[in-house]
Amino acid sequence: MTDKGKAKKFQGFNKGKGVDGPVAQFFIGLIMACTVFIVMMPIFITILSSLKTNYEAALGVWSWPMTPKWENWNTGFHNITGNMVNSLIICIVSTAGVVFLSSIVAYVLVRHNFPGKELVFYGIIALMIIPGVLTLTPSFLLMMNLGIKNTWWALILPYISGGQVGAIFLFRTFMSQQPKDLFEAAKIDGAGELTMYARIAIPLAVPVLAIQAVGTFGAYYNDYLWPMLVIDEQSKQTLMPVLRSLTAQISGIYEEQGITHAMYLMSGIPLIFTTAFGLKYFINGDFAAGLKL
Amino acid sequence: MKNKPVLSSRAEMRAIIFILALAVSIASFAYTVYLQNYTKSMKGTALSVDGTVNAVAFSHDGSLTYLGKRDNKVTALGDDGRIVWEFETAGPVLDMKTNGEYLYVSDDNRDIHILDHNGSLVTSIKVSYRPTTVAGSIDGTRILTGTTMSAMKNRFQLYNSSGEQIFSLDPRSTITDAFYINESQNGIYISRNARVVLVDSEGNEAASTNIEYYPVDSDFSQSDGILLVSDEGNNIFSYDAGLNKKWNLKMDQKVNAVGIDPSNKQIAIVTNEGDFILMDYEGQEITRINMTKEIRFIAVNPANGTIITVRGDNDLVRYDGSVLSNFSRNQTLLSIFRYMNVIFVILAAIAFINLFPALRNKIAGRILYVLKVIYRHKLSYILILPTVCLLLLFNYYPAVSGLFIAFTDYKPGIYMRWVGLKNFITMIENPYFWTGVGNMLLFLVTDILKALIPPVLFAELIVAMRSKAGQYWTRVALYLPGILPGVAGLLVWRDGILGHNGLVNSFLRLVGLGHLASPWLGMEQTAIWALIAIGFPFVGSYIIFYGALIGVPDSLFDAAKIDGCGWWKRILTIDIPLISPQIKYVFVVSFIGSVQNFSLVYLTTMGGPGHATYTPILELYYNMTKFQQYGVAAAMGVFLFIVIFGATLMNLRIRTAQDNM
Repeated sequence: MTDKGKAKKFQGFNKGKGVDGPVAQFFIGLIMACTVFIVMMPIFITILSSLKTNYEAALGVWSWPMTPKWENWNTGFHNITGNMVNSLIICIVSTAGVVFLSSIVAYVLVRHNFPGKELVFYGIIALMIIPGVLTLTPSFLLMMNLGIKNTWWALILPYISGGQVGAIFLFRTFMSQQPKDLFEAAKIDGAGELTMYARIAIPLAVPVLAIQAVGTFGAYYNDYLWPMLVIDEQSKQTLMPVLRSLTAQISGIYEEQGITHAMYLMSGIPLIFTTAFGLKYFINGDFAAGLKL
Repeated sequence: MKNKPVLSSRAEMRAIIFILALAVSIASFAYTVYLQNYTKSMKGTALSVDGTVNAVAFSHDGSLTYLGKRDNKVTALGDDGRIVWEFETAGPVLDMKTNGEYLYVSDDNRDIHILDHNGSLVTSIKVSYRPTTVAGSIDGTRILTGTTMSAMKNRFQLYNSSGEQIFSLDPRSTITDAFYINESQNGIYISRNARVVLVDSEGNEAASTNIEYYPVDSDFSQSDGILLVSDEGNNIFSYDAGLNKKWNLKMDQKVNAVGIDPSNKQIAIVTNEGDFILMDYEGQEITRINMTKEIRFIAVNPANGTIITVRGDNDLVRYDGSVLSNFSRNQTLLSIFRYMNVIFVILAAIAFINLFPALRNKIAGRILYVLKVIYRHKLSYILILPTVCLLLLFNYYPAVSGLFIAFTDYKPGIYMRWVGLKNFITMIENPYFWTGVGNMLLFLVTDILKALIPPVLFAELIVAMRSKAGQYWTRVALYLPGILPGVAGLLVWRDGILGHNGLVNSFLRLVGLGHLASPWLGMEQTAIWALIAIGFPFVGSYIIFYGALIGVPDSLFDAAKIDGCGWWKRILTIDIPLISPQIKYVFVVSFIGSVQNFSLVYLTTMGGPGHATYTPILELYYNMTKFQQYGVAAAMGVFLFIVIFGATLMNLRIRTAQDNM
């Protein structure tokens, strides 16, 4: 028996049994490959359907677009840009507001001592047990009474407000792990509060801020019910609530079914960026340690 | 010596200021109480009448009120409520209308009389059927009438003053009301088959329209050319004199009667719950007064806006038109004075404390101390202020007001009325509510199973992969579908996968099971299960569990292996307890998400087919948008909150059980 064989046998002794065995590993690989295939299926179908002619679409999902109609993508993109820009502005402003305000509050809660600090903290945490469904009707009425219904304020203000609850909790946990000595040293060197926040606390917290920003952006971009309730005009509306009617409208005008799917695909463009950006932070599952109840 | 009078004059000044502040706040309170009583009582003058009143009309100058009664009499009442004249008919009065100088009266004896405002008979004609409704021209030369013999035999007829019939047409249903339009000399009739028809002077249908249900009441304003019709579906329709619809709206209560008040440009509506509603000509509600008793019908005096309400048979109350129009102004004043009172009381309290210098200094010292403390930590407070304000306004206020609104009948900007548990009873009595709750529970159980079992399994499979690269790329591949927005993903599942030509049916046809292909979301038996299947294979939060499993020390796995513990046994006995904090987190998040999942059903089946996939959140949405029953919507919100809160509590209990072990 050669050395190589020996090594193999030795390895086999250690790892070749049960779940580590080649048969098990083969099946694990097979199951995961099938899973990945099925999980990818909706995207695959969307891409395929978006390139088909009406005739090819009528042949069923399996049919292959012989000459891909790339112009569907072009038409689809041009017809959702208006609402997508609305969505982007609202989501970026809201996300920036959430991350900015929450990081300040978390910083103050960790580094400052002032009367009523506990009250403020528990006051914020208590909101975690209030589900959106309880506040849905009264929030809607509040927008009406404030006179901001059917304006972007009705989206941005509640988004900035509501998004902060979880964010403050996350940031506070993270910032309380930042070494205290760092801040004391900076203070001795004459650094002001704003300098310490902007130059020490924030740079150290970039990963957690990024995770929160990606999550918040994605949640608001995908939000469906609230914009549908408070925005009445299609021209002011975010993309998700109008996607269904918009696709029907546009594919009707061009008489191309493929455009529907092209528009679904194009509506995900901002999420491609956030997904790519978040991948780095999410993929190792490091954040799971913080998700405990 | 010099100081003393100065001091005492200061004390006097303080006393005078206090007395002034006290007087102002007492006056303000008294005025508030007065306004409150004014809005509460809305006193009218009761009119004493013998016998049952069937119809009410007014003389053209507004000075006389005509009552048409069942005991064969037309009675004219003056402003003081005394009888001015009486006219005897041969049968119970069926209907009366005034136009100009003339009063048109129809009775059960098939007579139509034209009277002038002194009560003297101008002319009488005989018609062939019972004239249930009557109207006439301004000069007394044309008489319009809707007559009935039986349910099948009905006529709409025009006569001249000598009793000659000009036309007669068959409306195919009983006529409930008729009007004569002076300007165009056309007639309008409203019939029991939910039609409103404009008829020209030759008897041709010039225009017609349909209302939704049986007509209940109608009114026409000659001067402003507005026709109002209400139906049994609680709808109110507004038309112009050419029968062009201007608007329609659905009320939340049964409408008993409608009236137009051209002198105040208002519409009056009474409901079966005793609500008296004033609206402007565009149908915007101005105010609402609860009259405690149900009002059978109303009549508005076009000359001065006086409103006569008829409650029982002869229970008539006359309201001055100005009382009603003042009502809304008083309500605005009332809301202002409620705030003013608080300010005045605070000012009076300050003035009172100012009377005693020692007390004043002590309190001022306290306040100064608190202000100093706040000032010392000003930066902290300023930095958290925006967040605190936002959370108080957009999170705390709705949460608290949601609990409150659930017990009220709320019309934004108009009124808010305490109704106790009525909203919850309405919610429970809705026949679809329990179907919805059943569906919600089914979704809940399956969603939680979907959120826990497959993701843990997939995480375990990934961890079990020996190839690190394989692990990495599997994770990435499972993460990538996040680029398709949720709404788009649902629509792809609806059409591309579960639809008629979707993936599932294509696959069935491919393997020769084409006869099994079905519209999965379109059949009552399969729809809900098809919705549950959306998202297969439910990889969900696999990455959370993966992260948690990676965090488990390797030594534990090695120890398990040495002890001969197999993969499955290891998962059940070692891994799951170790990742239970994450399992609990995912449990709570998916629980909350499941109860609140609106888009899944709304984007795919809209609750159908029938009510097979109806859920409470869908009902909540419809109550907010379609029905505008905010109280009921808030009550459903409270109900779902309790369900979710139950899960949170349950979770806390599980934790305490574990902690005690």
